[in-house]
Amino acid sequence: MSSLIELQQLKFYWRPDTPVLDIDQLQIEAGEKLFLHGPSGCGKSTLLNLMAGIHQPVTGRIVVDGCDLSELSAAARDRFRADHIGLIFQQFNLLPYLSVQENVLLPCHFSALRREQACLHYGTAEAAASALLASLGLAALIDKPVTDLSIGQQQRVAAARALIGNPRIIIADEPTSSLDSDNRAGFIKLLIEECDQHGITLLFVSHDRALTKHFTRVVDLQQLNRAGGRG
Amino acid sequence: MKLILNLVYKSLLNRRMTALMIICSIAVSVALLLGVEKVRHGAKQSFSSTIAGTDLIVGARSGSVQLLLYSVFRIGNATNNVSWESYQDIASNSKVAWSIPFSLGDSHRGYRVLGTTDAYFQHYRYGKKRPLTFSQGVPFKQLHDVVLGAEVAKKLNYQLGDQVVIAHGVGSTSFSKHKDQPFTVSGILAATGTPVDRTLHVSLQAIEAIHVDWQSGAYIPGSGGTMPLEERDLQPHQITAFLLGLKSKIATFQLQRYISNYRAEPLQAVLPGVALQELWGMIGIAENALLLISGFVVLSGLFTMLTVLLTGLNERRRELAILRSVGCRPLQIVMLLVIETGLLTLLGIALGMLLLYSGLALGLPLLEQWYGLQLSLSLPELAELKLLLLVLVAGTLTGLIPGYRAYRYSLADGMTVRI
Repeated sequence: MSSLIELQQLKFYWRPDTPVLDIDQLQIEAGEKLFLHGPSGCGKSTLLNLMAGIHQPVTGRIVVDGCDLSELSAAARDRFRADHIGLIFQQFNLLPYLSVQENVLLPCHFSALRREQACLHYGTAEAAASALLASLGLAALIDKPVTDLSIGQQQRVAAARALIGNPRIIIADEPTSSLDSDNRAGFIKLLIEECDQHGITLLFVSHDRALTKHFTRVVDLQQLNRAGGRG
Repeated sequence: MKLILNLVYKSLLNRRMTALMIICSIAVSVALLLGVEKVRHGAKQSFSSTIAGTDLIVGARSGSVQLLLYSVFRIGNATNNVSWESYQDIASNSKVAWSIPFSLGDSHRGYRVLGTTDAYFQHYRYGKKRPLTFSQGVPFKQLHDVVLGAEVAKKLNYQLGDQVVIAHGVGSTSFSKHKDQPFTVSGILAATGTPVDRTLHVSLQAIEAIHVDWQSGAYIPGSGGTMPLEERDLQPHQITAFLLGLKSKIATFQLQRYISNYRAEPLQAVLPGVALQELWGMIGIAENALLLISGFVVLSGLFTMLTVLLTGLNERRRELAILRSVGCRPLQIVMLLVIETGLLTLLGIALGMLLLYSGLALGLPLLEQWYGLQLSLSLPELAELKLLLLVLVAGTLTGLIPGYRAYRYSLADGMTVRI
């Protein structure tokens, strides 16, 4: 029993007559690079919100890193997310009024654990940010305002922010859908490299099946979700 | 906490145009609120300093406010007069240091004419016991000399040496004028901000002189006889009221009782301070209305802020979702917005005070010169600080409304960023 994420008998709905998610079981092992796909409306966003501890399942359990999220209070789930989960969105990941470095450092301000881990490896959180940005090929942009960056660069900054302080899991919600195909492959490669290097489990959500080749495991949510999905 | 402050600061800087508009709208309303408060305070101050140094005002028995109104404020008329004998008797009382007789009833183009003596220029005090000073000329010496108040001279554009015809009665368009005896301007008083500015001063004898040919309120030329004015005994038979200054304040109540019980005729004596307070209590309603209005102006300033922030909030849903995804708790998001409104309000208050004080610094000399309104450029008083604190608290609490909206958004949106 060493799965990093474990879903059991998970049911979620806003109204009882329209179930959104109904998943019997899903286990994600530590270090896996999981590709989760499905058409829009099959419950991907809801599943991510459940795994990130934003929503609570109506019935069933979500255990992440040995911690049953359904038993935690809302505040404890917020802290858990800040400590253990890095998130990357489709686009517009960055706060426009902060510099590249300030954006990357945000998780270290909200989570003492992330800051500690960043300092453990690099001395200071700022050094950790610089190192991550450098390995993502963004060393020259560190003090730029994020509005000067291309979309591809912005997504890599978002990746650096998700990676800083070594969270256990990175959840990426269609992070490449706004990139062209060259950038897309490059971004995924870099992300997987970094995750491997730091021992981070990656949960990558997309509807683009062409990307499956980069990942260790592929899950089709439409098959997994018995409810058929509405959100 | 430091991070939240930093985020608020940078986020506001990013929206500096909107933020500036909010700050300006709050600044204007705060400046108005404080300005009204200052004027209110100043008006009360200058009202209560209309007359100073006088211990008792004595007139025919009526009401204390009425006596104050017609003797000091030159509003309304006396119901009855005081005989010269009574005046002489009381003025010569051993407790009395000085007395100023007032004879009212005539006017010049809407401004009251006051018959009095030299004692008026020596003993009359206003404000913080300030004496009357002449900006030009000297007190009346000749029978037909007149000393003008500052406003009379300014509004009617009179210079020293000009001729002034006094009208019988107090209407501004009186048809019966003392044309036969024009007066010459001998002096002009400096502005005081009191009814003195709106008064023409002549000697008691002059009042007698211009009424020589008047019988029961009608001008009948020659009815007063043909004796030249210079040879007549122009001793007045009655006056309207008089002011008393006592040698010792302790005697005030004693003398007041003495005058109230005066046998020869029904008289009353009032303490100016008490009567002024009574009068202010009656006109204080207008003062409160003024404060209420400026309170509403502040409220509308806060509503402007609320509207702008709520409108902008939808565009900031992404910002909030990003913050939430990196571990910001919903309560911290509420705090973010509350601190933001608090900061905007604080800056608005600061700018408002800057506006007001620089405005006052520029306008004070003009206010004093034109209206005799003396406002002090002092630091805000406790009452004003309380008002400002109230505005700050209200402004900060306003942030709870967008804060609650943001809280709901961040719970409902979760990680799903909506554009």
